[in-house]
Amino acid sequence: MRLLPSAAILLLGLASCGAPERLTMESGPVSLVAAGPLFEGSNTAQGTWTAGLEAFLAERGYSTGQLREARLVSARISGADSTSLRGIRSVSVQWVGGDLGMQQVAVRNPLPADSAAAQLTVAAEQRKLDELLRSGAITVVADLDLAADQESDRHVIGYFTLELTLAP
Amino acid sequence: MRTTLLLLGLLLLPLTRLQAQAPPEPGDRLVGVWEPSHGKARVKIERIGSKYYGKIVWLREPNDPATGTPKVDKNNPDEALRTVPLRGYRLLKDFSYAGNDEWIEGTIYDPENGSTYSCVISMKDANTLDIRGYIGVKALGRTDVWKRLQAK
Repeated sequence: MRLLPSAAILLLGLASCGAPERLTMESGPVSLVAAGPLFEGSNTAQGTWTAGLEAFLAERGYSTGQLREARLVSARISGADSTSLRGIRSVSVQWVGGDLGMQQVAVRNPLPADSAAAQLTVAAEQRKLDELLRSGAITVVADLDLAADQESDRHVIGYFTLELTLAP
Repeated sequence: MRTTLLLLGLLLLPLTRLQAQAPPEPGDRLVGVWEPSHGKARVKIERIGSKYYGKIVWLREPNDPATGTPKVDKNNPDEALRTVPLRGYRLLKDFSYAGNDEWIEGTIYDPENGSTYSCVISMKDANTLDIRGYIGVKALGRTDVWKRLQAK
């Protein structure tokens, strides 16, 4: 009998908290460049994604303090010019920023031959992407496995989709 | 006139290229290609931002004898990442230069068992590194000696 008031308070509390809300955040095109000359095998392409988390959330009526979790749910890569992804055998993508260590977030091995774009497999284990977004600029590192040497730079574009979980 | 402009452009091209590259830092002595004592792999260390990272660029046995295909990170604890090619794998991560030829607060990944260890790097001379991996206490770790591939 004495439990009834406690249960009522608990239910009231839960109702007032509400369920967490979710938003989808798209990176837009992130330009990644490997500076030539490049060699057969793994070459490092880099770019920066300025996430603009605060502005993104503010436009939707949220603040960064409400962000509970961020998960990468989709990663895609495409060629930046007429060379498309030709001659790239595989790609693996890492993110690093703020005080957080580098983490692998996506991979595609092998890449479909001569494709213009490819969807990547996203890591199941992801560490503190919310903190990474809060840090502002995320350095995106893509290891491109080239089938042959090339003198000039190689330019590809990354597209990333995150799911944000927010406290109401 | 057009020839002069073209020549001027060609002269300035290397300059703009140099300006686009990050300026050298004291810790850049670590940059290069290194070979662990077992000689089964070669690791290229590069700087990204202010930290140092190393990835496998050569394997003595690039193919998995069981499948005949290029080796992948089959022991990765994250199943989704088990197709990452071993050639190109970043096994040294997040090293900061602490002065006195020491790079600290990094990690080293062992693809043989899928484990990641804390790691410090000491440069004994321009062509020799002590790579010490450990769990928790540095004193309880194991040190491997790496040699620079193209000796300075």
